[in-house]
Amino acid sequence: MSSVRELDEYFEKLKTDFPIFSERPDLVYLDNAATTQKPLAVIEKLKNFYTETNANVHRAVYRLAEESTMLYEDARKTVADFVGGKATEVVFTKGTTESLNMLAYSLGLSGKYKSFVGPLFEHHSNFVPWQRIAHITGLKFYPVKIHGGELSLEDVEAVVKSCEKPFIFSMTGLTNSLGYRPPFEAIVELVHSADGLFVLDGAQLIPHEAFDFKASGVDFLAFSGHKILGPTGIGVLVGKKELLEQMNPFQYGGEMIDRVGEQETTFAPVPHKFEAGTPNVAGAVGLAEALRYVKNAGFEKITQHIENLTKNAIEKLTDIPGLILYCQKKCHGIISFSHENIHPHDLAELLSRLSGVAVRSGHHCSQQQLKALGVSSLCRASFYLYNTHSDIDKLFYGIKDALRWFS
Amino acid sequence: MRPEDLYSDVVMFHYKNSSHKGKIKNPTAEQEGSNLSCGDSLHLYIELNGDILEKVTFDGHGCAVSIASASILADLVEGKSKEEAVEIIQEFYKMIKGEDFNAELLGDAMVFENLKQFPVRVKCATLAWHTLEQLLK
Repeated sequence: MSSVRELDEYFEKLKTDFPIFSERPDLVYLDNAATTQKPLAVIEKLKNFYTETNANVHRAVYRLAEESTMLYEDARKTVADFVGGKATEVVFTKGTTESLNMLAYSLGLSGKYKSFVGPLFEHHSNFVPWQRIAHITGLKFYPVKIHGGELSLEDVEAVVKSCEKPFIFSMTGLTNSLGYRPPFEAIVELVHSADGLFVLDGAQLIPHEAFDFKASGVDFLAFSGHKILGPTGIGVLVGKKELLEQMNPFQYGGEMIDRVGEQETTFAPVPHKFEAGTPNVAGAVGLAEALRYVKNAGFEKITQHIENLTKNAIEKLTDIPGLILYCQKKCHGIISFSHENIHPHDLAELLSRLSGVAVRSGHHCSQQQLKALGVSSLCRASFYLYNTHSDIDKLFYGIKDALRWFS
Repeated sequence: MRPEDLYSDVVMFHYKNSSHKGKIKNPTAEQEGSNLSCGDSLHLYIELNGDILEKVTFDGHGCAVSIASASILADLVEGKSKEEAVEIIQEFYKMIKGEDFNAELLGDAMVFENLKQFPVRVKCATLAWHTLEQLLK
């Protein structure tokens, strides 16, 4: 493994692949948990798709349509390879939120499941859809309490044991508010042995560590393109083929049908039965390019570099008097913090105005998580591959400068 | 856009030294206001003497902009009638929206005249004003 400095130099070079940083040389972008910046290769891919290959997919027989369909299906194969699934298991959606809503509606309305279980630290997109579907269908809804930002296996075990079966368990692989990585591998087994389905929200996990869908044993995986250098508006649902085949579609319309009769309609095979309407073809092609970029950059290197940045940031920020870090045992690429003298909004505003540092402030779409910490708002710095250790210095000095205003 | 445009001396003074912080023991009326998207919440208390806002205080938590704005509002409306307070609130909204407004009524609240340069902070600066408007309805 390369040294901290070697990795920093390596990724500093890669940073030049991202045009936004030459457009805005003073930008210190630390809001990667919200969305990531795009390399030129992805931007060019989108442009080339529209200038050279644009046509609707899976309909027409002319040459251009064939080429766009091939690009779209190649993108599906690239995504499948990236997460260790099969192309027939990959459904393109507009993002994690749509993937999770698709599951909540399709599984929830099927009548097969009696209850839903999920921890309270979830992003609203993996909480509200299930809560809502439970209201509509009468499914029992069991939130699992959290301790600070952590989950205890005993609590999960107790709820899983007592909930009505069969059930759906949905959880994130990495919390977006605190960068806590719950021990989901152990929970997958627990859920399966108790007649449950396991859904993994990979919005934060997939950009941060190599993942193998088949080996993981999870039943479904949802993630977004834009958090892993891809375009906005494209996301993925990966599901075990036999489960996808049993499920009803989420939306109905063109492309997802087989035979349409006056009274009855049959549906296309998976994954197309979940892709009603004209899909985001350019987005899928752009996402595939982003995944190739990540793969070429080296996933192990990325994971290590982000761990190094996180460790460095924790060490530096710990030295600021009055600063509270909300790290659980270990944070992965995401650090939430606050300061006793300054409200998170003011801190984020001053970090931006004084030092060009972009951090998030607010409840991070996770109100129940913040409630468990007893706070209503936090600042969050989150890292990705193009961040360097000099960005951490700028964050450190930026916080100190901001605090001077409020001393 | 410099940080001074938002965190002016007037704003920082009201944020740190507001004489309106705290509860009124037996308020004539009180009202909770919140910006759910950022988690800020403010509780306003008023003591009426006939139609006059004899005393206005607040507690809760929020950023410097929302706290300073609450303090400035309390300064402005204390001693005024309900009707006058509503008029002041309306003039403040006009200023924030960039419309013509009566500057004579707004005193220290004029520090927020440039808030249009900080569009995401508009909801911070208007929280107390919306809350008082609600309370006077």
